[in-house]
Amino acid sequence: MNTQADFMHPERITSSKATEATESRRTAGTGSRTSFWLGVVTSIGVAGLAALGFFVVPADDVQGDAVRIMFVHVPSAVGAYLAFGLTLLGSIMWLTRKSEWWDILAHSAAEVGTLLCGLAIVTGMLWGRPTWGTYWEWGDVRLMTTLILFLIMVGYLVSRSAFGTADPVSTATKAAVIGIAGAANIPIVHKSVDWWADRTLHQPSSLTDGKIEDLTLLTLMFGFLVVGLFLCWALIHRFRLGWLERELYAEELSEALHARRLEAAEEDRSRS
Amino acid sequence: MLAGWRQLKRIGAEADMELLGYVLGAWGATLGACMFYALYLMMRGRKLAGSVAPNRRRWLSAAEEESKLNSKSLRRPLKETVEMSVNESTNEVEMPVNKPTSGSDMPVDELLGQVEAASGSSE
Repeated sequence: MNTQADFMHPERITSSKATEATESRRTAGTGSRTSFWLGVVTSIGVAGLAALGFFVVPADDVQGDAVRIMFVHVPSAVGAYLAFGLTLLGSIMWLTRKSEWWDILAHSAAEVGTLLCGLAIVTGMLWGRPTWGTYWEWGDVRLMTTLILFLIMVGYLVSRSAFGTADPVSTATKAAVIGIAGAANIPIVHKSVDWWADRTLHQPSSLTDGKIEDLTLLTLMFGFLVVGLFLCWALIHRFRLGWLERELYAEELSEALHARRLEAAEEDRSRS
Repeated sequence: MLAGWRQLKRIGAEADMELLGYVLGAWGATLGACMFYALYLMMRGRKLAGSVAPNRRRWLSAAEEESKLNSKSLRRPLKETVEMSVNESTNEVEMPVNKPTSGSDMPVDELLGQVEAASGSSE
């Protein structure tokens, strides 16, 4: 709001308008001041991770330069676990409380988690080719359980769009059941390398064994942080997108009701 | 910086180019997919936000909300509303039919409520 004093000092109005415009750009759509700065920090983190991964960390004695793929592969996989864990939580909360908030969270986390899970599979394949000599091994339990997890979550997303918005409660309930079934696979995926050690090319967890040290370990930890930040940013925006979709649906429904009421009022009037 | 450049030169000179292709492919796929997804979220968010009133976007602070409400580009299209007047002498409600008017007029819900109230009081 411009005051009389502002009009006496036009530069104040210009500066306030410029600030408003900048703020408006930052908060357009699903953005807010917090998500804007979170995005900035994440972008800086990605640049830092790339710098560490390519220029600072030395090549591994065994894997050579292929170790640089680990800095995106392992954090993507862990990020997918986290996201699917949120889907599990959101689905359970939806089934028990029937709260839209939890349903939107479950849907958002499933979408971001599926992206990260897909990336973990692709980067794993690109690491496997030079290291194992093959992109994919159908008999490998880690690869197959991860693929099953990915496909279940793709099914979750497809079911949400296939069931549509005609009956949101039924759609959310069916999706929640699929989400719980999918997330229940996470312990199987994680422990598969220990339970079926003779049926996998994949090594057991190198982190818990303490086989990774120094700069490589530091970069990997930094990778977890960056993927964690991206996960937060993407979840915030995806959640707000889900919220907007619900608002729009409610608004369309309300407008349709208004139109019908008007028609009914007209009919009553013409009858009387 | 110099150490980084040396490292890059070492990777370029010593590394198997095929291996470097896998490394760059993995990083490119990850960064590309994440950036594409982030862009998709922001574009779709902007598109949908244009149709939803700022006061229904709960993540905006009061100041941001006011700024959005004042922004001409984000003003919502006017809804069809109906003007209503009450004839005080006859105590009857006069309502023109199918007359779209300006957005500052009474919304239909309120109007219907007043119609019901007026008809109730006249009985």
